[in-house]
Amino acid sequence: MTEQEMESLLETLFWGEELEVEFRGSRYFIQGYYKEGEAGGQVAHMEAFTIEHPTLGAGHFLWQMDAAAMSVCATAFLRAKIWDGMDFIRAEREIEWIG
Amino acid sequence: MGGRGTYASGNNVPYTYETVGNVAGIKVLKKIGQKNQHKLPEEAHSSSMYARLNKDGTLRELRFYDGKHRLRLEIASHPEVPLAKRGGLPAGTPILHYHTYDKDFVRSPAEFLTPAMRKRYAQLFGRSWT
Repeated sequence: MTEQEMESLLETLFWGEELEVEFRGSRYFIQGYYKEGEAGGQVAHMEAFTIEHPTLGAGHFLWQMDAAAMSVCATAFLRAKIWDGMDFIRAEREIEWIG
Repeated sequence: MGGRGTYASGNNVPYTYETVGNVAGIKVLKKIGQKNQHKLPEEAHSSSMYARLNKDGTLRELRFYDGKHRLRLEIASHPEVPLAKRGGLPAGTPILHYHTYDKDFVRSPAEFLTPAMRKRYAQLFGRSWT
């Protein structure tokens, strides 16, 4: 990813907008939204699931989280070691933003 | 949470998108300097609707903006696992759905299109526009 693309991707992520990425031949979808919290009020939710994967198939959730703010979810997502044991920053060179 | 746009707040910001096509008169945008159409703007400058295409030329997403240039509605077709489960569909099925945004850019969960949305926009999806 170029620096400009990375900047745009991070902004997209921190606002909870959707991302489709390809990593090592598989495709993944990441998005955030606000939903009703268990205790009432709204919570930020972020999720990452497979669209195409040779062993996990489609619709397998790699990671998801609820938090008070989308930025909290986004930060946790970037740190999650869900990319073949790597976090997003380490895996970034092999990640292509496709949609 | 706070709002997102700077143009919508009355600031004069450069427009960083270019028009690369149209879908039934709706501008198809691409960010200047990026090779792929990754996303549509979070606020509008000149139009109330914008479109984004998949690599195969089919329509991926429509965004709708209010009179203050703020994004308010997004209609898209791509896999949405929770909706697929709710509809009893395979998880990887592209689902025509929408998200709303409030004035603070709070995005709602995906929902199936309403009958009115479906009547008006469904036929734009599923065919190539290039």
